[in-house]
Amino acid sequence: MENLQLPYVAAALGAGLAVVGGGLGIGKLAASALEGIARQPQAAGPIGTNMIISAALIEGATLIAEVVCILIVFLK
Amino acid sequence: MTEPAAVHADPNAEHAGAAHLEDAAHGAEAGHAEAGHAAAGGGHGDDIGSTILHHITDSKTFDLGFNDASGHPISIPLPQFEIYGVDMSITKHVVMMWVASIALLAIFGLAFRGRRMVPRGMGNLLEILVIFVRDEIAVKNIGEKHGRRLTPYLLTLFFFILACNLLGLIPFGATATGNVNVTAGLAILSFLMIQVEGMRENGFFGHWKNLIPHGLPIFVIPIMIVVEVLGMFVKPFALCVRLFANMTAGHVAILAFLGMIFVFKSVLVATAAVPLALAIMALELFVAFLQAFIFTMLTSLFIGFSIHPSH
Repeated sequence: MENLQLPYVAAALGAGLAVVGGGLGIGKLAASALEGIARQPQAAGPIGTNMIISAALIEGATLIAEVVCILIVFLK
Repeated sequence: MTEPAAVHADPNAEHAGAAHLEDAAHGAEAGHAEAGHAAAGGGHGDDIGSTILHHITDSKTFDLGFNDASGHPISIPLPQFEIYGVDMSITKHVVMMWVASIALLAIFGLAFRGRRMVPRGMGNLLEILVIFVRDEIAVKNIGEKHGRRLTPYLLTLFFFILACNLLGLIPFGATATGNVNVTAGLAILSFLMIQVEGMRENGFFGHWKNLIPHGLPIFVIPIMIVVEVLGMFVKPFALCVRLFANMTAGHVAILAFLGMIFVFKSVLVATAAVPLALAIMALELFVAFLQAFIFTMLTSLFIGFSIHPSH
């Protein structure tokens, strides 16, 4: 009977791990972007745009992982 | 799902067995209320998962969100039909897409009526967004000539996604973009635009030749073709999943916070849950704009890559 609960554990752990990865990625990205803006404030516009695009791409990978976790729960 | 319900039912049975008339009556009443709410599509406590699921998934009726005098939910049944064996039923999300389209037509029609050179009121706000999409998204990524030509498509994409996202945040609304079929449709359109524009600019064979990057050793080429063909399909797939997951995740978070009130069956929880749900709601408002921007931005970026492969 306990084995039936394992998918929930897997989904919760997976969701958390995906967020760790995505958070680290976007955090690193934002840190570098802000550093770049601090060094060269006139480049804030293009840096900001590129930062959002990169963040969306990282977030996309994270969200695909989250969708897999939701599917584990719903299709169990 | 069934297990917690069974566990939950046990104490009730014990209470009834103890022959406390009041408790039994209370239990029956609670049971009745619960059944009523379950029928309304919004269960309490144990049923919170299905309630959340009901709110984010498509349905064959359009719920108005309140009950009639006898406690039954008022919902408008939608026409169900098949064309050549393909299910073409009108569903909740189809209705919301129509609402979004009609709202956009009405808003733009009203804001730009009279065709004056300098727009007033609402027209000013919309002009900012239109100019932003044209100059910052289309022209910047695709180039002056093709960017201006493709601006109408990108504008349609941007405002349609934005309207669908925002309609999910108002009462009685549903998020059409929180349905993976809708986002898949939008992504397929973007995929076709990317391929067709590439072929139009570089010729049919020229476009497919761009799958092979220049100046590579012979033995790498088969691997690169596989990678590039995969990338061709992964790009729109990521567009589709990103929009779907972003819109769904926000709504699940809001409903989960509000659901805590019913899970803990206490009004005190509301003091924490409602502000948290409100905060997520504010975040959702931002995400609605951001995701419309991202979808349009990435589509124009990919079209730009397809038209100017040397980039």
